[in-house]
Amino acid sequence: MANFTSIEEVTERLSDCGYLLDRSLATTVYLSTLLDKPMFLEGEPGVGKTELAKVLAQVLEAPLVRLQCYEGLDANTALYEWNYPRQMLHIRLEEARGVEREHIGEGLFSEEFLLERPLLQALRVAPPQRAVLLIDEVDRSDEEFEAFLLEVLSDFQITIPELGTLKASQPPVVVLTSNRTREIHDALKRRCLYHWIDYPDINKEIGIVLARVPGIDKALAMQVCHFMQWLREQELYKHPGVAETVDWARALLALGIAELDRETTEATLGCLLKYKGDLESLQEMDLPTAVRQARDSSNARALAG
Amino acid sequence: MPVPSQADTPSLLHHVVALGGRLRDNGIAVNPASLVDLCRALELVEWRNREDVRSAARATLVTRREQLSLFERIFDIHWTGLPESPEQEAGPGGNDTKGGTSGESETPNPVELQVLSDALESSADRDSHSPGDSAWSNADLLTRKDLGSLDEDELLRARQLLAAMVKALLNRPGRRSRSARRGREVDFRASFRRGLSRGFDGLELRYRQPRPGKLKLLLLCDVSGSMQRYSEFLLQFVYALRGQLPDIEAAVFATHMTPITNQLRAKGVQQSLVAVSSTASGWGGGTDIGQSLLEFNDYYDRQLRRSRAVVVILSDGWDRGDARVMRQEIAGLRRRVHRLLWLNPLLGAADYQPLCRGIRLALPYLDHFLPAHSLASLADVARLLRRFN
Repeated sequence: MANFTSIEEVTERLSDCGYLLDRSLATTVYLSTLLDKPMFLEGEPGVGKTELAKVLAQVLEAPLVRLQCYEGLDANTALYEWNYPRQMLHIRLEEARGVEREHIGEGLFSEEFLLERPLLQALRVAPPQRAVLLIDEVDRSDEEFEAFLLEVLSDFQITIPELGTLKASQPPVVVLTSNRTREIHDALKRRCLYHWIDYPDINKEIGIVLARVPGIDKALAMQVCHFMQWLREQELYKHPGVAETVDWARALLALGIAELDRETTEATLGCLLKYKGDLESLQEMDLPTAVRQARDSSNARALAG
Repeated sequence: MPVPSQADTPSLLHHVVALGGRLRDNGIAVNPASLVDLCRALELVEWRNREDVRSAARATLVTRREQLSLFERIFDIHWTGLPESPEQEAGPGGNDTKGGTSGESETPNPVELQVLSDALESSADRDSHSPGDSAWSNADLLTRKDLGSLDEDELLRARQLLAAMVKALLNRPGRRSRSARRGREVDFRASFRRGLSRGFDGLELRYRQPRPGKLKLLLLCDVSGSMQRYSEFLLQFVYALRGQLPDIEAAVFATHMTPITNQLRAKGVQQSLVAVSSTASGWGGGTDIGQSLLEFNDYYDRQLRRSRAVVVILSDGWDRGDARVMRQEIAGLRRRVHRLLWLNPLLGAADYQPLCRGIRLALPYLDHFLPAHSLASLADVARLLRRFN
């Protein structure tokens, strides 16, 4: 199944794979797959931007092609490269075969010697399949790389000087993610459907934990999520994302904890806070009360629901 | 999935264009291509469903998070057809850089300014032969003189020093590379091309070499009362740097931080300084380094996180703010940047001890703590910046 037929279907099929999303994001995904426009997902780290691409590939039964961005990423690494050792060998062979000097190296820049890098690879997936192309953390790349992306993402084609222009027969589903360490140029964003992914609300987060951590007790999941919501309200340098919630829930499950308590929370804070300063400032906060409140509010919720 | 019928299409288009116009009026740049996208998108969603239409419009027309809340308001107004008045009052475009008020700001002495700016500008126009190290490394008495008492010649020298400093900044090796005759990594592409044209026997390999990249420099200059003797001069430096290094950011602070990068775009040192002093709040007043740093970290957050940002704080460290905030913010700043420098004009005094609280708090987080009272000391700064390469 290469496409969705309705927004409801997006929500349904993604949640079957453990990815819960609200209708607004589902609409973006739906439009993106039908209009062949990339999605540009922004949000704090750990809210599930990369995960969306992975799950999409799974749902669409499509190959996932991932391009991790970094400063200095260039066309040779992202688009294509020539296979020089093979070309070299080819020339030697032709020489040995006694090919005339002016004909040596004639077919050197043909597809035979082309090495596909992620972007090209995603464009050349054989139809009817279409790839899911994840361009991860595009804010880590530099302006020069954004320019490369413009051509690829607007026309789904790549120009190779020696070969001509290669066009995708079936445009890939493209997911760009950014943590906003740098502002991405508007020209690139305009070619995309923009979506800001926020931290989930308490209900959605509980749903995510239950979906992603099989075997977890519902009461514990609720306590965990209530505690996380409290933690995100505190003044911290880096707030924990949903990925951290899931990690923590897994850790607690592995420890065999039935109910959140102060000691275990303190011992496992490393799952949630990754900065020494944040751990220190948490020491100054009222952790026991927070844990108790998380327990109380999830009990209240359990009674009500 | 309901596709609008032929009869509906004109009104749909009309609505989309009207929404685009309304967003544009409120500072959200919307281009026609995005509107076309929205029209295509609306053929795919249930266009009587307000939330789906909203999602489609948001995805196609918004390009940054800051626009989201304004977008929601305008969309609601547009959808319900309310009069336009409430949305006019504030958009994100309204509260930009001109945050500070002129307040009790004190303009620098105009006569002095004239002298300084003439000196700086004339040397800039002259396109001076770039000075080698020797031009300013000789132990010249003048270069040891305190910046509080400068004459024109010294300012010329300062300008030249600055050129060396900027040159050092420009020549940092970057992460992108170019082909060269020497290097560590073989450039197959270039070698192969040479082989094709000249034959592969006795082929001379080409290598990849880092292409020079630019350092991101952010300057934060203290203009409170205790710094008054120096701050004007230091701002001249900032101005001159700005002229040559487009990727520089500058801010001043006393009790609050004020970005001045845009003010420095004015033509001429004098106009720039007038613009700066009328923008900055609390010029010549008290100091709250912690609060100023907090605002600085917040305002420049994204730029600070870019790789290899160098932050230079120009201050004497006299601080009347909250010590906890100051410590927390300087620590936060240190985490984000590649190098953190503090230039202190008082450090030049022989008997100086870093006793004042601001400096004591900051010291553990600094990569370099340097004097900035004379040309010689600024020369040292230039040499140091060159070493970052």
